[in-house]
Amino acid sequence: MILTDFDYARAASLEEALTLLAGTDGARVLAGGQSLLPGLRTGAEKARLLIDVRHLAQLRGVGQDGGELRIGALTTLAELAADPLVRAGAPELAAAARANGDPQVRNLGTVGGNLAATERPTDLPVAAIAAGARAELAGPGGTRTAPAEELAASGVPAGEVLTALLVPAAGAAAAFEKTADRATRYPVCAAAVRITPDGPRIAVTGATPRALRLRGVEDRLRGGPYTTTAVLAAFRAEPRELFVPGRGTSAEYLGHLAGVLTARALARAAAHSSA
Amino acid sequence: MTSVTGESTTAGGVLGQPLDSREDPQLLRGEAVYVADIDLPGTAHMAILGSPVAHARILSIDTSAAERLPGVLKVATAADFTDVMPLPCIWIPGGVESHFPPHPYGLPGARPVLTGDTVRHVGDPIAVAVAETPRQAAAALAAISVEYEPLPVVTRADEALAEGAPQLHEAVPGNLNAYWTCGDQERTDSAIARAEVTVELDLVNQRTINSPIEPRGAVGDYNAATGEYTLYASTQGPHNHRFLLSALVLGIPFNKLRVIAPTVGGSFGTKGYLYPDMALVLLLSKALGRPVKWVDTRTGLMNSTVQGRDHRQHVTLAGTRDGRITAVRCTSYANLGAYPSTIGPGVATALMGRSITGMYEIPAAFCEVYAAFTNTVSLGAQRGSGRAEAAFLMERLVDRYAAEIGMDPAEVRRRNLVPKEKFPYDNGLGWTYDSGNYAPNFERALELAGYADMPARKAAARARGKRLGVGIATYVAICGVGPSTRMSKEGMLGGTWESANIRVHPTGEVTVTVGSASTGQSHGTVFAMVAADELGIDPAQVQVYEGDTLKAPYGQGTYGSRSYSMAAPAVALTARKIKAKLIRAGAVFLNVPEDKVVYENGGVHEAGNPENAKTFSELAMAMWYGWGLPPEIEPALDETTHFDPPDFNYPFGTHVAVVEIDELTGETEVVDYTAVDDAGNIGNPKIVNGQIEGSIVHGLGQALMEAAEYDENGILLSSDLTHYALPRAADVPLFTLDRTVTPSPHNPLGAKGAGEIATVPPAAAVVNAVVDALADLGVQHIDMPLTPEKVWRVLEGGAR
Repeated sequence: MILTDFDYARAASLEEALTLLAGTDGARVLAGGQSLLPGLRTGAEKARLLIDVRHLAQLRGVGQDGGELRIGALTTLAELAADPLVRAGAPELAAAARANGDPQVRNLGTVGGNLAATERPTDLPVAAIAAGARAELAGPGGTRTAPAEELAASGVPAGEVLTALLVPAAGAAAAFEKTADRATRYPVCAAAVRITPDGPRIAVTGATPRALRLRGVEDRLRGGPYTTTAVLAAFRAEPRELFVPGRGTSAEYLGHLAGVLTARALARAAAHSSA
Repeated sequence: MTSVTGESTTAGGVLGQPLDSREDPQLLRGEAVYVADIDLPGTAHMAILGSPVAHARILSIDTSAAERLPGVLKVATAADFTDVMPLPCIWIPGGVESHFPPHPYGLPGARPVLTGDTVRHVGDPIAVAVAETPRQAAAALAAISVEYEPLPVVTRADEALAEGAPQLHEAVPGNLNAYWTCGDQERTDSAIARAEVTVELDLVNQRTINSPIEPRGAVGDYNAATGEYTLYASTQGPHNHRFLLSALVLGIPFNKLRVIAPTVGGSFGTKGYLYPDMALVLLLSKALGRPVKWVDTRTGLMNSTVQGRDHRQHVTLAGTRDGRITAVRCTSYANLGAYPSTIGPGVATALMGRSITGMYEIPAAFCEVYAAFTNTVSLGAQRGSGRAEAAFLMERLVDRYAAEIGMDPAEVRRRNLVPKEKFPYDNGLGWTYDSGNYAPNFERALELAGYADMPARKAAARARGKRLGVGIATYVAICGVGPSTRMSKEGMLGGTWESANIRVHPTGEVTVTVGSASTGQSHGTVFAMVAADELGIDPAQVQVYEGDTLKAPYGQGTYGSRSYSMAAPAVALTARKIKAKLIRAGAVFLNVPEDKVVYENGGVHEAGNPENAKTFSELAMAMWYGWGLPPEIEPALDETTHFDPPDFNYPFGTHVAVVEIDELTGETEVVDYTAVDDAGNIGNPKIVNGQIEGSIVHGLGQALMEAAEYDENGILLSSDLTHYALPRAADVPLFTLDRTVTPSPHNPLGAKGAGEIATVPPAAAVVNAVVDALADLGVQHIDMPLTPEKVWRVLEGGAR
């Protein structure tokens, strides 16, 4: 496919990126380009202007402030997967990053791009939701935060730029499981869990129209034990219409798969937390 | 053309050594030149408008808006090419006599270079735009408006043959291209009727998409001053394309067309076919007075380049209670796609049908094929073509039979192998196996795979929540196409011999040119080894050229794993002519009788007197000068051989797959894979091992994930690599490889085909393994690809 015409601007700062974004119809932020550029080739994505922010160093890297990890939106998936702070404080996120694509994609793809992608289910949103993370969004009116679940539901609002993910660092009682699509390595289904003092936090994607926190399943499993039988039963109690068919896979199978992956993630998280 | 010179190795006895491929460095460094890299001065760019619908009448085409766009040089439709003949089909299963010239040279329903009245598949070329840049050409396509009247669509061969099915070609009533049979129907039906045991299966050997890294491309360059055309194309057979295009499509003199294959980035069978774009770039280059270039995209490839497999079969095996197979029978519906491709009908019939008995001695066999047109991309070869479909049905049947009589499937196979003393062996379906020694090959594979340990491994896997299964598949893969006269009886319109030329230069370096044309098989490495081995010189002295019809001797190209058993023998025989001449001339130069000349390491010396000697370089220079040669010895060293073998060759082998199935998700993982193949004598084990590994991965792809899926409207759903899954390194285990060696008597190297043979059994081995893992659930067969959901449904109790 031949790329359609678009303009390109290298933003000197986040402020300039926001100004360009506000002032141009069809402006898109270019980070790793791993979904946007192929999308532009196939016509699935449209852009009149690409605002390149890849070089903005302040948006890249991982820091920890007390109990919270701050992950810059331009941190690559490879960096996220390898980061010792993330691996210790948010292992579900590190595992989700590691499960993404292949080494080339992980070396270019970014945390922000993965969280903001809407064309296909991606790996990080479920992990961010299970972790109770918040997205930091910069806009014309300043900076705000929003729950990861809200970001997964409605994407990055027009005119705003996702600048960081803020993740509670809570030790090892968390895990991520995925069945990858044979062709794309995007999730057919992925599940992330984090076991908190209030009970498990569970999110799935692929089997559902978008990354979703499954509060019903959480309620049914609160107090444990997290046996496969109990988890599958908790999933079967969900409304049937929660799960949607994928390409060549039925909603019935995907709903079952979501349960299996969740059970496996819970088993691993529980094993880590008691270890 | 490929020109390579390798590094030095020990001279003499080089054949069979694992030399590194000479081609690899330039490929790995990105220095190889592909069609897309050819930019002739003044090149204009062509884009092709493919039909967006699978079946429709074209009511009108309006190109006026496209013609006005910036940079657009020409927009052409079928109306511009009324004097161009349709693309020939040169493998006609019914036989050649009724079809040999005059034109139409091929089957009814042949594909025109552009379709003017009716589109018959998504991607069917309707119009082309030529512009200054590829982008302008693409923009022009978008401005062409076509009015379609939709017609009903059919995408399955069996449905296309049904009463009332949509009709594709007026000249082909009922969409039936060919009804073809082989074997003895009466004897087979009678054996089945009185058998102690019969088993039957309905199989879908799904359509797959050939996915070479390099999509096809073509550059046409017409020289008005000389009236000569040059075509640069991604082709497996430049001479064949020259023959087909000049005489049969364009109607120009043979000697006015030169075809050049630059580096070709993989093919797997697709690039031996004639496609409209090859003719179009030449015609448009002449019309515009400029070189015209076209390079396909991945999605374009998936909607235009020939696809593979696609049989729906009902198969039956009969046998005794004690494990002797008495008959096998197959009825197959083969989907040829919308038009007969260059050799597609032969692939779908003879290559499959005559191969179904595999390694087994079966007294009665019969196969019938209904080859039908449908609204899909044309069918052609895919690595292992025909033979893979045959092995799949036979090996599935053997496992089904073993289960029915309660016998170990390995033991059933063991009891039915063609015994060593029966070779040459007539399989009753038209093939006469040249040589074979199956039992040691079979037992070696079982031993390497640890077949005896499987019960313990199954139990251990169950404790981990996994079901382990083991599957065996054996095969015989006809290769070395081939004996030309035999192929004519098969319906092949064209010679299938191969050739080589060797020139020894005055300084002792050697150039080998062959008619074949590599698509990535390291011809330059291996043909240099063959010549060096015969001549007793260093392969580094030998250069190999191929792929340019002006420079290379006639040949048919690379396909069907033929180059090492067809082109390499031609190289060897030519080297022997050079050697014989050097011995005759050596007698003159050494001043001794011919029977006193000893040829050793490229040089000659007098028997018993090593001081009276000439080196290879000295001989080369002496032959260049020609001084003192008697009239019966011509000067110079320049010899050519055209090799046409007495019959085909029949490599064989045994593969064993071990799978583990996740009991909760139905995911199948191939955990072990053992392959023991027999390709006769091999030239370079490193290169052959690479081909074996690639072939296995290819076969595993069909078993586990690959499928060309058309929806009910004939839209190809899997038309890019995000929708068409190909296996990656992480999807396959490390393979356990070994080989047995049973030379072929049909060529001077004792060689058999190797490049694709290991693609033949993996699909059967994997499906056998999965069915084995699920045997206690009562499942008899699962159609490929073995998606997790299909397996899960069996685990959940939905077995048929």
